[in-house]
Amino acid sequence: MKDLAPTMPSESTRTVWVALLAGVGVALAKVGAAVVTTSPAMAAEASHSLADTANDLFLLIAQHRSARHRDEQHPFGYGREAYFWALLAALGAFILGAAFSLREGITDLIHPTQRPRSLSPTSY
Amino acid sequence: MTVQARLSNLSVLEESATTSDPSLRGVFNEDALSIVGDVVALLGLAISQLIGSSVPQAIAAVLIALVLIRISLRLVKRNHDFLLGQPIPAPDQARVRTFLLDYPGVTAIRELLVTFVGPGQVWVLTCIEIDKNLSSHDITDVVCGIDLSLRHESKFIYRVDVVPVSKYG
Repeated sequence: MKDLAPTMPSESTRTVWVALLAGVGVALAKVGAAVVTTSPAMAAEASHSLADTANDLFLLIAQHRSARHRDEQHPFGYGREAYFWALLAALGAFILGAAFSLREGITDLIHPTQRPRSLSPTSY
Repeated sequence: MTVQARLSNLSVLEESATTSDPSLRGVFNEDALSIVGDVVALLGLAISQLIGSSVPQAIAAVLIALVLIRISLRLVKRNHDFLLGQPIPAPDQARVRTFLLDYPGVTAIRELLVTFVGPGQVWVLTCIEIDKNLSSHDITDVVCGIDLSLRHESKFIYRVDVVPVSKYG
């Protein structure tokens, strides 16, 4: 039963690691920009990037756990575990990213503020 | 993903929708969404600073949230489908069916289930009718032969279960 090679392609693991490392950098930059500019759109994007980073952690767990060989307790292997963790990642994006963005946007629509007409280089 | 798309003769978008690898799909959608979100946030910010109101930024934030919700729900649904046992695409299913019908000793297929059990892992479960003139030893050879041949045919076939029945069995 252990003749099959580990099933998760290493390309996927590499892709997730690259996405995670890039995501951390992007999220930090956006959080900084959101703090400096107090822009709801930038805050929404920052929350989205943080959610993406959390998702990548879930996807790494998916890669690790689903790569295990099948055993007597799990004759179909652990491949489906990848979908379970990816499902959690998708829900995480929904809850962390979308809910925060929506709250920021709606709050600012209800209580709009006047902003100075100056261009802030940080935002761009 | 680009390489896989090229191998499957699909566009990257089609590959992201059909791949059985949830990590590739997740990262691709995440990155595509990031680019869209950045453009929307940039537009909201620029318009806000031009007109001196936070409303365009608020609208941008809501738009980003709506796109996130749409993509998240789509990813949730895809993962849900694979958790429940997503069948392989119909053309591939037809290829497995043809392979089985062409196999010596197989006269008919009563049932064929070809579903994903993981990323790039396919489980074939089939109930086949065997030529009634075959001995029990020959039937064992057919069953084992189908298992080995199918695995040899595709590296994605993870497990094969063949149930042989006689025509009236």
